[in-house]
Amino acid sequence: MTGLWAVLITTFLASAVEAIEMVTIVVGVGATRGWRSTLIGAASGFGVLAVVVAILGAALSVVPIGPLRLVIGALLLVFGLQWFRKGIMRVAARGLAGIGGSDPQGDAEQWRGAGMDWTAWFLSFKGVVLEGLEVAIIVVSFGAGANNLGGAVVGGAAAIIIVGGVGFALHNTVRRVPRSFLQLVVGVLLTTFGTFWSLEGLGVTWPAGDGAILGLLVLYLLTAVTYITLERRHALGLQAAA
Amino acid sequence: VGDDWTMAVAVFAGLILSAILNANHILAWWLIPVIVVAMLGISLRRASGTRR
Repeated sequence: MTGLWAVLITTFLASAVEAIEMVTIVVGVGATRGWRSTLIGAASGFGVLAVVVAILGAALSVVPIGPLRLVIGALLLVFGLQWFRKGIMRVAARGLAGIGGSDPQGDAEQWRGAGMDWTAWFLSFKGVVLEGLEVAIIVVSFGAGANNLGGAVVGGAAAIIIVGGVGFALHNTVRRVPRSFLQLVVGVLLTTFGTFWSLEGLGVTWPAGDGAILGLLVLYLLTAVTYITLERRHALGLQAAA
Repeated sequence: VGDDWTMAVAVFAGLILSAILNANHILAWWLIPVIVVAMLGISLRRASGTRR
């Protein structure tokens, strides 16, 4: 019984870390670009995951995760950097205008077309596939190692359901955040995860392991504050000169 | 690749350089964060110049 709880709790905690990253990306992209395509992307990601898990089963533990991290990380980094830049420019120009969700200029980033917003779909899809695959690998490795696959599956599934539930509960709060600020935050988060995963995929060792994600987050937030301040000073200088 | 393609090019070049450094057992984790911070500054400065 003690062994079952040990497997369950360990798998839950390890999977929760990956699930938080997954839910952060999905909620951030959904709040910035719109929910329909984002949720379809997440559902497609879970569909692909289900097929991969069903086909590979226990052989998942030998999947080379490095190249996948490199490709997905590089793409997140490129997308995230563009949002990071736009977010800085918009927050510098308009501050936190639109708090409460009524920011007509900020809403411009929301997808208005009738069809699929492929950017939102793609970002959400790859976040779910990469993180979901990591959860699946954790479950298979821990479960096989402790000879208790059932307990590991319950731990991993509980982590995704609970963290996903928290993300769903928070999505209305996230909606009230000004779009320009949200774009900046999501840009910073995508750039952080993209930097971490792409270099991990190359086999680079991070100081402090997963703790480096927090370090990157702090660095990029400080960068955002610095550039917003500089942009504002520059704009004020231009106004004074005119 | 969005509004400023040079940032994407810099990131891919940085990843190649990081791979080379890592293969030669030289610390490489710092390179991409430095490129991100530097390219953001360059891109924002260029955008401000265009707006002027």
